[in-house]
Amino acid sequence: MKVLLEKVAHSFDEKTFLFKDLNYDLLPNRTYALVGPSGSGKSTLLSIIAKWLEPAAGDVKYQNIDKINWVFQNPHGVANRTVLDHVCLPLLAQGNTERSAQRQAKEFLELFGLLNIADSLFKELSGGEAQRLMLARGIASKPNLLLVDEPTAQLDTKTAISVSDRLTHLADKGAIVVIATHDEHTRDACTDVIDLVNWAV
Amino acid sequence: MKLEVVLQEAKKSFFSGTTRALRYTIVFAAVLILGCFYDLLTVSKIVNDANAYISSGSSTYIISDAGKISGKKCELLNNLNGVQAALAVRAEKNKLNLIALPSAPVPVYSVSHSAYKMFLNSAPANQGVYISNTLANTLNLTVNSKLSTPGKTANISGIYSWPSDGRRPGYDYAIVSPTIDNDVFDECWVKSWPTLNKIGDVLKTTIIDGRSSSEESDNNSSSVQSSNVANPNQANGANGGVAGSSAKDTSNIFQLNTTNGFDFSGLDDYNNRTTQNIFFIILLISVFIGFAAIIIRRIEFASAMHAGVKKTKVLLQVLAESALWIVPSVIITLPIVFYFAIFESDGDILSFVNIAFRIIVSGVFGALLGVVLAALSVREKSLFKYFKGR
Ligand SMILES: Nc1ncnc2c1ncn2[C@@H]1O[C@H](COP(=O)(O)OP(=O)(O)O)[C@@H](O)[C@H]1O
Ligand SMILES: [Mg+2]
Repeated sequence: MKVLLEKVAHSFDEKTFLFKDLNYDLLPNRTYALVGPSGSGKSTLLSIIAKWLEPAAGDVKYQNIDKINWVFQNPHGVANRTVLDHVCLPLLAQGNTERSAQRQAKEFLELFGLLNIADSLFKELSGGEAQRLMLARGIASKPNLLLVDEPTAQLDTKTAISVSDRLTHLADKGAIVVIATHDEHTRDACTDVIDLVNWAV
Repeated sequence: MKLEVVLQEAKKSFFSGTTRALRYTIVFAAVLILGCFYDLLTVSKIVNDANAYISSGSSTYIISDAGKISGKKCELLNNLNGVQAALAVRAEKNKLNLIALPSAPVPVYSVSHSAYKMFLNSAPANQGVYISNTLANTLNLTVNSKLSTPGKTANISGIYSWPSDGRRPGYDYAIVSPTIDNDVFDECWVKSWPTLNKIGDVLKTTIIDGRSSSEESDNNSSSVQSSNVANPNQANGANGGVAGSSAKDTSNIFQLNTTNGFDFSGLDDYNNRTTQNIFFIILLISVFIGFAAIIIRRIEFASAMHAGVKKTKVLLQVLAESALWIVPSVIITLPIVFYFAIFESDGDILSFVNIAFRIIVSGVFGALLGVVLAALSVREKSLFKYFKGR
């Protein structure tokens, strides 16, 4: 299982490139901190890695990657559905019965400190709670490749540390984890650092 | 994802208010009901237009042939099917000098006895003359007041209105005086609906010396053949509204009110109202509603797909959810529409029900189509785009 970035470059206006000639192999059991100043193209590179965006040049190759999940910087959910419902959905999609989905979902909620608000509606959550919920949901979808965009942006330091902990632990189960981040703690918790400054034009 | 899980999701969407079933039920039912009512209103508008056409005098035809119209023959036309009033009219040469109004002599028209059908709403209770409401207002007169001239006094048995809606003037300030039918008049008026076919020939039967009505006619005897009167619709040829053409024929035929045209076009409108337009419009609106109901939730569905839910399952779920506002809309629409069809419809109930049924089918089909199109257009890979586009 691998993601190969080969001479990847991107530009939105075909003149100024955000990055160029980016070669990188993303491997399982590793957590990559994707760093760089705001506007350097971290989110753009995530969408290229997800293959949701065609790079201006170069290639992204998957080896045995069949399930990707991307947790966006801004949480999005269904206003009137519960926290539990949100995490159950990927588990139900995997074919679990409602009962089994709920049992597993609660474990993921526990992991992100959300079990006590399992029955709250999405619209009642704080920004940080919503963000953690999206992480729990992302992980519940059991991806080989997990892309996370600024996961700790809306969290206080203590929660941020525990969240990056959780994310890095996911890599221990064999996934490739890429986390775009500003946060030092998150970066330090990762096994590798991809600093976009190295490929900036 | 199992089917019961899909239905469970649909149920949770419904009960959490995510489907917004109440909103779409109201909107969609309104569209269906308005679509059905559009037809009802089209019909009642045509009926109103027809009434306006008739009451303005547009369906009243006049033959004018001074001193040559038989009051009796004219009155006979009241027996024809569709004739609402047939009356003979003669303008008196001398205007009447009223005591109350010596400076402004009033025109007087002598008429045959059916004139009340033209001028009044119902037969007058008493004998007497009819005066226009302008005259009545000027002199402050009412029904059963007396109208005095230097020579005699007449009872007023009716007051008529003569609006200036394009109808022939001259009666807006006048006295209409019923006289014996067996007399000679200048004009015969026939108000009919639907306008008699061959009205011109019908009117010409009232000319006293019985000249033929047209050159093609083989009726050149001096008396009018009764079959000509009884079956005017069997005669061929153009409608009235043409001046007599033969050398001897000095008659003139015209409408009491020429401003609305010879023909009332509403009849064609009525027959052609089942155009595809209304079905197509309802279909489009319904597609739009169905599409909107789903597309505003595109982030939710793209996100579900990102969480692993297959598109076919999303499609099933939105169809199940949409059924929860489409079916209630139809259930609301049916009794309302049928109530009006039965109790309020001016037109043919069966044709109305038929149209209502087709409108509802177009609406349901459109809504489902919109829902399906929207669900199919949601793409997981566009999630990021949708999201940024908020
Ligand atoms: N769809 C787009 N079209 C044009 N410019 C874009 C688009 N998306 C991002 N950009 C620009 O590309 C640059 C990098 O954006 P982004 O990848 O979001 O940076 P980061 O995540 O590192 O803050 C920014 O200047 C941004 O304005
Ligand atoms: Mg970003």
